[in-house]
Amino acid sequence: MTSLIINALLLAGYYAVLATGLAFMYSVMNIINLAHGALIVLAGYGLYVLGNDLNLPFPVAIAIMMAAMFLLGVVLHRAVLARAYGGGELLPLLATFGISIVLDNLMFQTFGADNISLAPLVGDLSWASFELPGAIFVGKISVYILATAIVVIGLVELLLRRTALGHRIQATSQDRATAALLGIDTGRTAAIATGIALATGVVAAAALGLRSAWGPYGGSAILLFAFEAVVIGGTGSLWRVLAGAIVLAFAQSLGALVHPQGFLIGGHLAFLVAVFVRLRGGRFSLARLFGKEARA
Amino acid sequence: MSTLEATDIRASHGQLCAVHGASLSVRPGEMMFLLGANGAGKTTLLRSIAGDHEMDAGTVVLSGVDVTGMAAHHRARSGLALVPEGRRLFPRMTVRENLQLGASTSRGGPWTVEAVYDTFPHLAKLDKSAAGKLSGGEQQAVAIGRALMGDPVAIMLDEVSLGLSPAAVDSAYDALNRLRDMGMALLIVEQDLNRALASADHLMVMCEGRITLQARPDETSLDALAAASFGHAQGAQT
Repeated sequence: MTSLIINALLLAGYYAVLATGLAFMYSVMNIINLAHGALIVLAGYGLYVLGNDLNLPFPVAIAIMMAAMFLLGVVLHRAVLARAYGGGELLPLLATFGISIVLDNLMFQTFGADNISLAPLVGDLSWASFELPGAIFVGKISVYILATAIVVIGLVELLLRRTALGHRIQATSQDRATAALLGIDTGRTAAIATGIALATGVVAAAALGLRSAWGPYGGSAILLFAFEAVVIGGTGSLWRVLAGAIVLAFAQSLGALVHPQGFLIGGHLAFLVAVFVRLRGGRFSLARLFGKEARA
Repeated sequence: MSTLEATDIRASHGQLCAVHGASLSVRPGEMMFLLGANGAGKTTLLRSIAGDHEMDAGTVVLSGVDVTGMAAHHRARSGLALVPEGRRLFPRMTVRENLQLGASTSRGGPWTVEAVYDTFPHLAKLDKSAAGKLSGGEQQAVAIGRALMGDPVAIMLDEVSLGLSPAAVDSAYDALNRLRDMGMALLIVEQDLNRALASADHLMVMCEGRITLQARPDETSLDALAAASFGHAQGAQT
């Protein structure tokens, strides 16, 4: 029982890392980025090329990829999202869905269908474990991922709440017209926010590659878990993503306890309950689905 | 030379033409009032000048520089501020954070958070309060302070006294009079004709997208202003 709880918590850390960029994009930019999973997979291939083919140390590879994904985010915003933004709720969804399909197939063409992993890049860390009292062993990687999730969410929250850039990002997301009247370059600010969201995806890619292996079409599974965690937790603060990830991970673990095949079903049930609770007594809207509070 | 000079502004909402060629000019240290009934086009005119609404024709010149082709945030950085109708503060940020956002124009100048608190002393103790929890008068003070933080040369204020208590209106106008004395150009949209007559250096009335009256307070009367607001000929001739 104790080990079940601990394992679910560690799994939650992984889901939280996966979902942070998605939640950030939605709460800050009002864009549901359906290419979120594919972009994480892309960052994973980037880490693999830098670490495996170019033999760079893993932390250096992460730093380079964060800079690269930040730039990609700025370009993505300028080239696609800024144009789609004015076209209502559906247009950014379709645009990012299209990007995910293009990315999936480009990665298939470039890297082939092989599943690859980043675990060889970190030596014995990938199977090392901590021993807890009561002879419970937990993988070091999983613990580090949970810690990283908390650090990443904490840093992004700190950026949003405490820095001038964070306040400009909030102002741009809440009221673009007023932000512009104050002299804020809203296009530039939104592009930077997209860059930050994609840079957090590099951490997710590292977690994905160290825990397991992925293939070129792995993005949709990542998107599914991230989406479920965000809907269960709701937006408003990124800490709610962590809460959503914990609920998702516990629901999946309980599902697996009930039946060996119940892992995914347990998570989906928690997701459906969250959907029903959020949409009860009203019409469907993406804002209500994500629990976005009405701005006063 | 005028600080703010708008010439022959035309603006529309889709098919509806809201402003049919309005011109105005505000000098440094001048308090200009723009009056008129609801739907006369005052807000659209202000938003067009600020760059928040794309105008169909016309030019906006600020301190001798043509800003017509600039986006709203570049006009703000050139020294043009708009305090919008309804204040439009960021409700979940604190008073200080709202004020600091106003400094996004990156213009050098005398205004700091502390200088704003000197101008509106009652804001100092609300420093860490969420802006959404303040009274209407306090919110209006924060909105004016936020505009000042950008060190503007001209401030446009839309519906300054709407929804405020008489005491809050008095306090807002005390501050505006001090800004006028500092040499700022002020363009104020106001519903209260008595207040406008008492405070203005210059008055303009709009009706159905056109300017129907321009006068100094001593040249006009409450009746003439009211008549011009509704487009009656007597107003236009005064």
